[in-house]
Amino acid sequence: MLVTMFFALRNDIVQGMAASARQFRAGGIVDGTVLAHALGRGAAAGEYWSLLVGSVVLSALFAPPLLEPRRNTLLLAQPISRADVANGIFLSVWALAVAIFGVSGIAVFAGLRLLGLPVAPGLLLVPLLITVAFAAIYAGVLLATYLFPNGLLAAVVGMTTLLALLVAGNTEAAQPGNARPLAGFFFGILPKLVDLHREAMRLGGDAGMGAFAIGSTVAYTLAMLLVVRIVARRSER
Amino acid sequence: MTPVGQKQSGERVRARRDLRTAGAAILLLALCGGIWLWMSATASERREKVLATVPTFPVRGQDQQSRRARPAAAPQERAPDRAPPPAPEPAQPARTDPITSFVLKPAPYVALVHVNALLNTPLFARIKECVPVGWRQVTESMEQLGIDVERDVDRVAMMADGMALSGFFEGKPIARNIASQWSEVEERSYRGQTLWMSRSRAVAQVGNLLVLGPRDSIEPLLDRALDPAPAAADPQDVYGDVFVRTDLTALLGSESRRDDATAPDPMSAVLQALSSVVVRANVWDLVALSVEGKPQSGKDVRDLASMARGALAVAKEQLDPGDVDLATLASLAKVDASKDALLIDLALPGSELFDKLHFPCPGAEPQAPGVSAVAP
Repeated sequence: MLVTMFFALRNDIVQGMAASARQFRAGGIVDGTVLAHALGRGAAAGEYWSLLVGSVVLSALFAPPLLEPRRNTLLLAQPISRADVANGIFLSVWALAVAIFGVSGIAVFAGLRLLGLPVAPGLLLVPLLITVAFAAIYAGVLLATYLFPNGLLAAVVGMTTLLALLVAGNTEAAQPGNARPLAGFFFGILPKLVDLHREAMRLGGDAGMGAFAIGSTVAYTLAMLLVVRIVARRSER
Repeated sequence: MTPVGQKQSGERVRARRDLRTAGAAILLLALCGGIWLWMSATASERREKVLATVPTFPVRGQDQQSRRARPAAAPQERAPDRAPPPAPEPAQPARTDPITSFVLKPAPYVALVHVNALLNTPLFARIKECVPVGWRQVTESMEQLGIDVERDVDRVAMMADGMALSGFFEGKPIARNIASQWSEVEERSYRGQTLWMSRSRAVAQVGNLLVLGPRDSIEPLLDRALDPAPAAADPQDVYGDVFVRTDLTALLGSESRRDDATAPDPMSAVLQALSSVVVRANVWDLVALSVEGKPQSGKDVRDLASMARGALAVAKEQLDPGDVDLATLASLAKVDASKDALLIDLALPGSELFDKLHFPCPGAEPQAPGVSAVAP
């Protein structure tokens, strides 16, 4: 990621686009601040989706080897439960993702500032939202891994979940004000990947951040982890 | 207790624990779903309120039907509808009224405003509230000419060379009163009508129609009003509270139409590819704007429609999703491409523009004790 960033910053096309943006002088309501906010929103959206998609694919490969009976026999001989092992896998992968998202977020922010684009400091908080979205998807991936311990299948489940949530979040029924009783409830319990993307754009545009998308997605993740605990406890073969 | 019994008891404990865990998971999800439904219901109410304040988009023949559902919060003091003023010259039975003829004749830029309709909208009420002194000055100066702005003026047509007003002017010496405020007025006749001309300006009155403009343009302006509309022009094309037709030369200039090195933003690129644009708008609390553009020869209208859709999508992405009002208006935006025209519908915030764009509204600001909002 950092190497890609490095080469991207040195790319003539990127340098040229940054120079054009710096030189852009519009009148009326499109002043420098508005332009900076628009750039920040675009950067936040790009950062959010690229990191999320990449991390979902890579993280899916972590858990299956750890759950192989020959590998975790010694681990389970210790005074820890299978549910604790599940929590441990989730937390370790999540912590690794947080570290990667954090470093990448700082790199994106610093890179844009180095290019002379005055993006908002709120862009630094975007990794927080990616972390929330990633956790929701990974909880589902971990559940699938416990049911069918296969890395490829886990990756497929992760990507399918991501795409399904992307489509669901963009449907008319998922927009505020369009919810119908049953469908609205269904959309309400799903992780708010698209809403988190919008919150990320708000942060990039130096606006405030709504709490519901984060809270709702965290609640979904916790619910999914509770189910993972049940499945893990019952996974003794 | 036997080992089998211990095992059964352990399984029961584990099952109860799993049941509790599953219950907690379901509770968490149900909580999210419930909060989302509640939030959505609130947003839905707000959305309905916003939709109720959007007038219908301009449609051909809209004058013959009710254009808007009256919202509950709409002001009730809308002036009673008055019959349109009679045409001044009944000589040609099938002809359109003079101000429509005035608008239909070719011109680089022409606009027609239904003043009578606009004056009774909440948007105009807000403008009056913001500039009470300025509005009072306008009405008083018009009263001196014999015009009651809120009751007498029906439509105003404007073009680069001058303007025309239609209303309830029959039998009132409005043009003479206007001319009396000028110095060195010359009076003469043209096509059976009296012209009052100063050194720079001129005015004429044809029954319920007033024509004003520069001295050199008054005769062509009068011709526009008195001559029948071109055979190819359809009077039914002139609809909407506001109607503007332009070939865009005034807006873009002939220079900017040439291909140059600078890449314009998508909406400017769309405008530059059009040979003429007709803008129609209906106004209530909000503005329902309809844009019809004819592409220049060689330009594919489907490409222009795709460009306009892209520009709209980019603009929508910039909106705050939590702002239900703007999100609702954005959902009404629509781009269509007919055989030879690009059609864009936009719903724009009207009175809210004062707040969102921080337009000054001194008349609505709280006054300090002892200070009157309206000058004596």
